[in-house]
Amino acid sequence: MNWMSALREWMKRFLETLHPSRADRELEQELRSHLEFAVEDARRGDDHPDTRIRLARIQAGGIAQTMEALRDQRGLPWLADLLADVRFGWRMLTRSPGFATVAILTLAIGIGATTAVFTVADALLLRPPPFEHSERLYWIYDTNDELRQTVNDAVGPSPGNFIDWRERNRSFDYMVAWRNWWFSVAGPSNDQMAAEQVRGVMVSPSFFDMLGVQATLGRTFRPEEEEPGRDQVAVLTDGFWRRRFGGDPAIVGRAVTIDGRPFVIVGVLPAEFYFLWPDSAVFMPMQVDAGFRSLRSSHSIAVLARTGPRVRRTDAQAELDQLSRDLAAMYPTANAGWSAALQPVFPLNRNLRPALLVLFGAVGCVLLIACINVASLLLVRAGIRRREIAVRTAMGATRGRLVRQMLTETALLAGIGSFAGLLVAGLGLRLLVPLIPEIQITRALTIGINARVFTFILGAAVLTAMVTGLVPAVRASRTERLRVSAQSAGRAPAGRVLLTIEIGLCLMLLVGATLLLQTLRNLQQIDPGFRPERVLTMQLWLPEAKYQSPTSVSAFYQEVLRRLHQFPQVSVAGLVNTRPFLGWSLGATVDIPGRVERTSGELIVGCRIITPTLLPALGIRLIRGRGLVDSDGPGTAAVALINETMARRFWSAEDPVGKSLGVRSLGSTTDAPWWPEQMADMFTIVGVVEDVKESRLNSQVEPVVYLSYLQNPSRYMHLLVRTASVPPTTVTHLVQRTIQAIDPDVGAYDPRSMEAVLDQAVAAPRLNSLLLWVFATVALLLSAAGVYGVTSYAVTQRTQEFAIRIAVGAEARSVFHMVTRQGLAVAAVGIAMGLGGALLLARFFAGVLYGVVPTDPVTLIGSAGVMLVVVLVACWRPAWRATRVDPIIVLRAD
Amino acid sequence: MATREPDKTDVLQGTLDLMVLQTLAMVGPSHGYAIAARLEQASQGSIQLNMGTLYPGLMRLEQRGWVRGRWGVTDSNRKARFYTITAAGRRQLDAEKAEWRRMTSIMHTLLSEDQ
Repeated sequence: MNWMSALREWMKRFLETLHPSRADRELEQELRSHLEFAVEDARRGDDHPDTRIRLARIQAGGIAQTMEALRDQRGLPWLADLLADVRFGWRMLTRSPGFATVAILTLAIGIGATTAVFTVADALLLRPPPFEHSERLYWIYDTNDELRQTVNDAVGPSPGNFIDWRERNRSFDYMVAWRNWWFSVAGPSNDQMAAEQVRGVMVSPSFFDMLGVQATLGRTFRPEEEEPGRDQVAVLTDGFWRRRFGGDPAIVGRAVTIDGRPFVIVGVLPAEFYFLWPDSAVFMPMQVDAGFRSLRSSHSIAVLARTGPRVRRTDAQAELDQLSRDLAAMYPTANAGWSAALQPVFPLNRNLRPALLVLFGAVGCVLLIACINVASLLLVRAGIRRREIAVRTAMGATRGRLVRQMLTETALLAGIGSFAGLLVAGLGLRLLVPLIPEIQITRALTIGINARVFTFILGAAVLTAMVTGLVPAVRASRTERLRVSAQSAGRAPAGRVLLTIEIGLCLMLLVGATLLLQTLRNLQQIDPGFRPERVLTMQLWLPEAKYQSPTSVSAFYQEVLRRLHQFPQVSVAGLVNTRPFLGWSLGATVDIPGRVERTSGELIVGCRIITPTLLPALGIRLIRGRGLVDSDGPGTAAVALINETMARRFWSAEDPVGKSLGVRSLGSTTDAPWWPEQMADMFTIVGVVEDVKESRLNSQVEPVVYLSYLQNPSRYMHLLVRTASVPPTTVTHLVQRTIQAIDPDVGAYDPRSMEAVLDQAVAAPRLNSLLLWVFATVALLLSAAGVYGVTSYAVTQRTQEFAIRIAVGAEARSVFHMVTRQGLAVAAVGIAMGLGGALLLARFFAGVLYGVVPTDPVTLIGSAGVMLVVVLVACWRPAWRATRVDPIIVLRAD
Repeated sequence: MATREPDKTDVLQGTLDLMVLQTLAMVGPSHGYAIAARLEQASQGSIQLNMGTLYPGLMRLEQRGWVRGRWGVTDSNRKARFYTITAAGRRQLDAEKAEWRRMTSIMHTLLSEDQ
């Protein structure tokens, strides 16, 4: 029970520290009465009462010492000291409000900026996704040697392979197939609302178990529900359930119509759940029938898997490699040369990591500069408080106590600065979040201050307090002579060292900002291969139930184009199955007659289904031969266009026009809804077009073949409308109404201007560049303030010296030069350090740059120049003041 | 912070608790001087507690809930603060007495083997 009473003692002592329950006076009274009793006792007795009294008093002990011992026992001494320090520090700060304001503001900027960047990084990269064992989730792709050399180096696996992997593997807890697409959903029979086109996902039944997600209503799928006949069940997402079915729990157990077939709703998912696509509405089991199992030539699904608890990625990969070899042996035609590749699903946005690292470095520099400025301020202040410190030392304060007390003061500054920093961070985030490029996230990007961010702020504040306060505190606590001489304040060498560091950091920021700006400019000047001005795009999707025959599909598109071309605002309209910067594209396997067959795999190239009007609509140049025309129809010879990359790759020495090309595995017997109908096997190349950047601006273009929409109709297309002179978004409604008028069941989604799409492609570098320039500017201002402060202080210290010089005849100009020379010396050292730092950290920058090297001499020299100018400007006024020193006044005051 | 000689005070503190609690249990509510006087008498002068040791110790006992202090009046109408042992204090006293006896008998056995 001892620990309980010890706890009680500590609780009491803690409370006493805040508010003593027994006042000192009462304690003294008790002690005095003790002494009285002692004296009384000593008086009884006959001989030498005075001696005995004196002895009794001595033996009883002193009141003062006992009071001290009582006070130590009554409260918690270290806590009392701390509170006293805080109170003292607070008084000191309120006595110099100017200093306090500047210091707090400086720290607030540093801490606030750092917090804002951390919050974004946390939301994008660090926050763990809300799924069980998310670090064990992987995508499994199919790849071959040929593919590995192209831009899209992997494709989705084939259903047959997936089944075999799933049945034969030992490394994975779960393996699921996944495909998301658009479906037409109509309510139960009494529902009056029209059918709605929504995004739906087909998954293997164990998908939700794999993620550890449970239905809030009803259930998720059972393993047997992937079998034909049992698979007509569905699970709704919370959003869709509320929106379409009014959040009515009775929907569970009822049937809805999806793509014309009845599906029974068995469950509803939690509100916060989504996986990669925020607008998913419904999940259905992916049906596995005999056709599915044997399908190995079409790569039409995605596969997700979770490794077992103690299985390493390398082991899982090795097992998959072995399985691939087995499958290649068993099914040589389909699988020869193919292997499987693992890629972790999380963290998403891995590619943002280099940029975020750079941002962190930059913001760290800003924080450091802020700390250095405040430390310089503190050093100056410590110099002013020399006398007070000397007196306190003489009265018995130990060095440790002094340091502790000064650190408390700094901690107060850092604490208040952190709160102010929170405000700065909030403001900064509000400005920042709209600029963040669209990226995949695991949940709605709620960027806010959460517990993790708060802990970060706390840590930053503590670190700041330490960094800022330690040097001044230690320096100040050095016992100073009481007799203060005018010169003994010294030239604050510590201040100058700090300043050089500050200038160095600032220079690195400047270099970084300039490099990023150049990168942005370089990226923006890349020719995307098409003309994005005044082009509207939107996605079209024809429901399969309604458009069964290929001719109905092409007829629809012809009608759309015919009507659109009647409007004067429309210059030209075209269609393509996947547009540039969509995020994915269709691939097809090609055979090139006469080409040496490699044993290592097949040739997969990009495949675009286009209308002849697409080339002018997107502004793609034709380089050789001819484009496609309307007479390239179902009855005539099958033709194709290829892009420059494909021409260079496969027909480098000859003219590809007129050559034959075999295109396979397009829309075979699968249900992959994005594949066009294939109506021919061999195509004749009739033209070559210029390369079009379709994924990242600074990456290579893949080989692409363009086929006619009449000869290979696709139910999934993107419409591209080039307007005559008006902004593209003004015709959005016009286009949508036109499509509605032709067929209201056709889905038309996601209208955008191509310029906006292209803009997104540079959104990340633009954001980085902007941020770094903000940081660099802040750093420049802070550095200028720092230089100004330190130089001013140095001038004040040397007033006497200047006075003497002027008195003996030195020209004002030479005094001016003296001061500025000192400033330049500091700047020179700082710039040298900064350049060194920039060179050292060059390789961290390489990942975010384009078209410029981190060690670009022009940038380095230019930044150094700017820094020098800033230092000179900051020195100017103190130097000018030095020349105004009146020798008579100064020398007399000594 | 007051300078202390850590060793002597800490060792004494453990036994001080025991002595004070025992005194209060035997004699009933007493003020500080009475406790010190009683201990000096019972030990025939060996134990002489000064205020600096006694009162912080009493405060600690009070903070631990083993004694309770109240201002009162002595027989000779003097104001004094009287300390009373609490129920928790009695339990602690019993526990410590038992522990002390155990230690004594162990030491006794250990040391008598020397012979």
